[in-house]
Amino acid sequence: MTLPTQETTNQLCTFLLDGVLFGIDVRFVQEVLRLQEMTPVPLAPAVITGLINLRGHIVTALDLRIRLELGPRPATMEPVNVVVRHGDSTVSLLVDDIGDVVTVDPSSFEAVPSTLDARIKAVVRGVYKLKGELLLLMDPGLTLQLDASRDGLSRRRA
Amino acid sequence: MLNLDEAVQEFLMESRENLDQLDRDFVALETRPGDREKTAGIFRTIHTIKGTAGFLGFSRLEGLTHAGESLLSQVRDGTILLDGELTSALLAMVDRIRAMLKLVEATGVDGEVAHDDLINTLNDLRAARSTPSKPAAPAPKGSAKAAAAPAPPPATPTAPAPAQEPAPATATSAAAPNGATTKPAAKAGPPVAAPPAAPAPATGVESPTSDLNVRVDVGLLDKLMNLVGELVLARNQLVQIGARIEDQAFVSAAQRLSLITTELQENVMKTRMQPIGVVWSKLPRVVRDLAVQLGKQVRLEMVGQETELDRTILEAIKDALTHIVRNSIDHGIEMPEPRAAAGKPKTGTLTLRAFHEGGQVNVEISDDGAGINVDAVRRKAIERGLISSDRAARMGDFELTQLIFLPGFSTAEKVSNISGRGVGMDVVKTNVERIGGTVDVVSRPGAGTTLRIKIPLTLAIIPALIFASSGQRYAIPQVNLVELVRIDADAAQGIERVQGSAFFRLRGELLPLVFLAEELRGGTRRRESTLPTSSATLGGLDIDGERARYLAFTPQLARHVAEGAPLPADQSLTAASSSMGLWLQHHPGDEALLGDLHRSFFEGVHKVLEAKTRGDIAGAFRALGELAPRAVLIDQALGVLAARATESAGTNIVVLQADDHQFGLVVDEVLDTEEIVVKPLGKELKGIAVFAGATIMGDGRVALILDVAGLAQHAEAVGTDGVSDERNSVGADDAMKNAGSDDRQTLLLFAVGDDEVMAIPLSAVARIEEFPYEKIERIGRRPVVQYRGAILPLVELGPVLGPLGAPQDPRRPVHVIVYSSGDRHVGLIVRSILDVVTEALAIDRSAARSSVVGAAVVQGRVIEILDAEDVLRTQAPTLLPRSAM
Repeated sequence: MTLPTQETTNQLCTFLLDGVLFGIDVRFVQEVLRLQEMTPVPLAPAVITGLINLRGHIVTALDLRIRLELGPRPATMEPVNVVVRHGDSTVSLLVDDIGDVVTVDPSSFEAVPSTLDARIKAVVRGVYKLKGELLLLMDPGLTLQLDASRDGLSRRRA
Repeated sequence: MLNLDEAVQEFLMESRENLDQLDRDFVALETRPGDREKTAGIFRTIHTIKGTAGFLGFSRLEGLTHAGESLLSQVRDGTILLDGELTSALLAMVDRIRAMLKLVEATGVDGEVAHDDLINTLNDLRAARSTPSKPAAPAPKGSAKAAAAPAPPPATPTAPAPAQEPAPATATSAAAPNGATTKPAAKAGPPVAAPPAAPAPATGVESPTSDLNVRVDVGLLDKLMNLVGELVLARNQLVQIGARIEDQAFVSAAQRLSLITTELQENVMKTRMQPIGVVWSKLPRVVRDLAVQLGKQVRLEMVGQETELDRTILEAIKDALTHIVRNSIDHGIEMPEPRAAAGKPKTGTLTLRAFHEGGQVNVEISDDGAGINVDAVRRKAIERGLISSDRAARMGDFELTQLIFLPGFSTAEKVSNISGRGVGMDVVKTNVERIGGTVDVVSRPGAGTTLRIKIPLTLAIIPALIFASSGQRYAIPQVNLVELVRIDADAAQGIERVQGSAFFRLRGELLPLVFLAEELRGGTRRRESTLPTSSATLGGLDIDGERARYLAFTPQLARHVAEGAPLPADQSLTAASSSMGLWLQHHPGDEALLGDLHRSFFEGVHKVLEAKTRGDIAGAFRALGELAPRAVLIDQALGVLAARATESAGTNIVVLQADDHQFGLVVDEVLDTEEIVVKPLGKELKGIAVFAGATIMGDGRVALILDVAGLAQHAEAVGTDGVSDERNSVGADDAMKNAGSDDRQTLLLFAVGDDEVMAIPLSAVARIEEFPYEKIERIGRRPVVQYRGAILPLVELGPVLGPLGAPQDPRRPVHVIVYSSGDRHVGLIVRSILDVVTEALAIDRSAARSSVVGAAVVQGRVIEILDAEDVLRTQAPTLLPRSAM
């Protein structure tokens, strides 16, 4: 996947999580990979699935299902790695399935509906109304803010 | 960071390098005031800064440098001779210039301060010196040269025409005065550090090599290093494929690639290296300032400044070096008069020496001062409660010298602003050890002190021990490794268990054990745990667990097909990512049969799931029928494996050194030693102190690198306090001394009577032994036991043995805590060993009685703390003369 350099936020890389369509600005997305060999990290918060070797770089993989407290992924479903670069860190976000890169119409954008689940609302900037479905615009910065004190995120605390 | 003009950026960078050179030149000039090359060089540097500052509109900077330049022009011409006062003023100017440059970098302007004070000082100095002073050196021929317009010597035709404001970098070589046989000044005196990556340009030395160097961004070098790492991995894979396909052309191409890759790796590593002179270059100034301040005379000699080190290591030892140098001048080198009285030259010599040895870099800092006063060290160490007077009396000079590395140690009679604030050598030691180095000190009274630092060449690639635990591979830096111990399954009685803590008797010493698998599971250590080897595990594979899992799998899948019951969430449904799949990947070859079974099993699973997804339930059940026998076969294969595991079961202990403590890490399997490339972990994982980083193994998978100190802390295997490994020699009273503060202590709790519990500092315990009752003999009325070829006197701490000849239960073994002090030993008979706890202690000494230091609250109950030294003193000597042991 190549990175467009122009100053547009209209292109979103979309993916599915528990049947919900999310999108991340393509400029943050470095690449999309199928299942990678993963080295688990003991003592790490549960959201951290492990470490992958991305051509010599060690990248931490976060399971977005656990991040958003969506319940476990069905055992038959192989997660997809969406490698996201944000600031000076590169992480891989595990999602259920990858969608297309869609060009969105800014006029179809709306603020986050107040009825949205608070855990999802915390990482979403707004909603694009596509034909027949909604596309939630995920903010990578908010997504990568791991608050270790939050229940469900920390596996253990000594 | 401001977005500065490129011109300003260049000016800043160049000026900073030039100023560093100035520091060195001034210091060198002070010892050889007549060095015309150096004075000319200094003048040119200041002149250049002044010119560029004026050009860029930094008027404050220009004003100050102008005053300096005027003074320097006369120095250069020989009408003023550089002396200490002058040098101090000029160095002060250099510092101000630095400060202004920093300001420019931060704010883009050179500040509002006019620096009139310093300008006046410089002007006054010039006025005061220039008139009456008779030039000490013969008046140079070219002394009438105008300050601001250096005439180019005819020998340099490329030099620009004399101009009022010469261009920053080019005109500087022009001003070589008469006798302009400008040759590199590197033959003597302070070094001209010329690192290949960052040469010091424009110092007036015409060096043809400077044109051959380029500046490279460090980030780019790191990137190159990464890419080479990847290339090495890809190369390894190709070589493996080559071995398989047996194509001669391919194999020879792969071999060529292999050679080139290795060479490339070596060369890229080299680009990260810098000569140690880069760090040393700051030291002449430090030495000079300190010597002036203290009224001492010190000459600095540097040998081997071209010795190269990885830049991250250089960065890490910079402060430590400066600290040692300051210490040497402050404490080591004496004042001129005492030196003269001792028959030494008035000027002390401080020598820095760097050289490669055995893949490491040695850096020595030696002075010819008074040496370390061991009596003062002894006195101070006792005063500070670091050691007992008994112990101190027994220590040799060498041992005493090493005490300077203890935290909180300082022999300075009075606290100066140079050193002696009680933070010092211990910090140096910690910092050096953090990067895998060592420090030691050798001192000869009256002749001087040498500190020797040994550091690895690079941190990027380190030798490491690879081992497996719970099916994962981990690496531990070799520097932390002391030894590997393997205990056979039937010899595991060497492991002592005291409540949740385990110890191994390694050559008679108690080594605290940490079970990595438990540690990494988190927080289960305190529970009574079994040795990992007691169940059938092989190379981290929990065989019993796997057997249960595979047997239960098919029925679960059947329920899933029939009624849509959920599948086990913890079991990944692909061959590669299941726990056994992972294990098989690391044990290819040995377990080919199991591997095949395992693969076909998962193919079957997928067939079932595919059929179900198609809605072909009958097909799914057919596939299930095929699956069941495979599960049975896997179970049988695992059974064979389990038998083998039990046969070969043993405990692998990796003995590690963390700071001053040793502990044994119990791992499943020791695999190999390897050179690994250390990679940082993402910031999401920075909070886990147990891991120092990660690395990529030959098969491309990631392995975590353990941080030994972090692991020790996590396991509380060693206290974070003064509990040392000197179990044999530190008496209870020493260990207690620290207890008045809120130091944490590790205590061994034991029962002496039916419900009386006492404690002894673990540091005072040499060994814990069990003797069969019949082994206990009597000398007179006192119990003794034959122990290691000697007679160990025993002391009953309570009614354990009962009246003479009337044991409570002769079948029960007798628990004995062995306490040693020097060559004297005593065995303390206790009812039972209870626990090891680490707690902050507040000892109530009012409760002291014979052989009891006092009482303290431990785990919520009041417990008396035994003074084993007192027991030894009062009980044992009456029994046996010392010579009997």
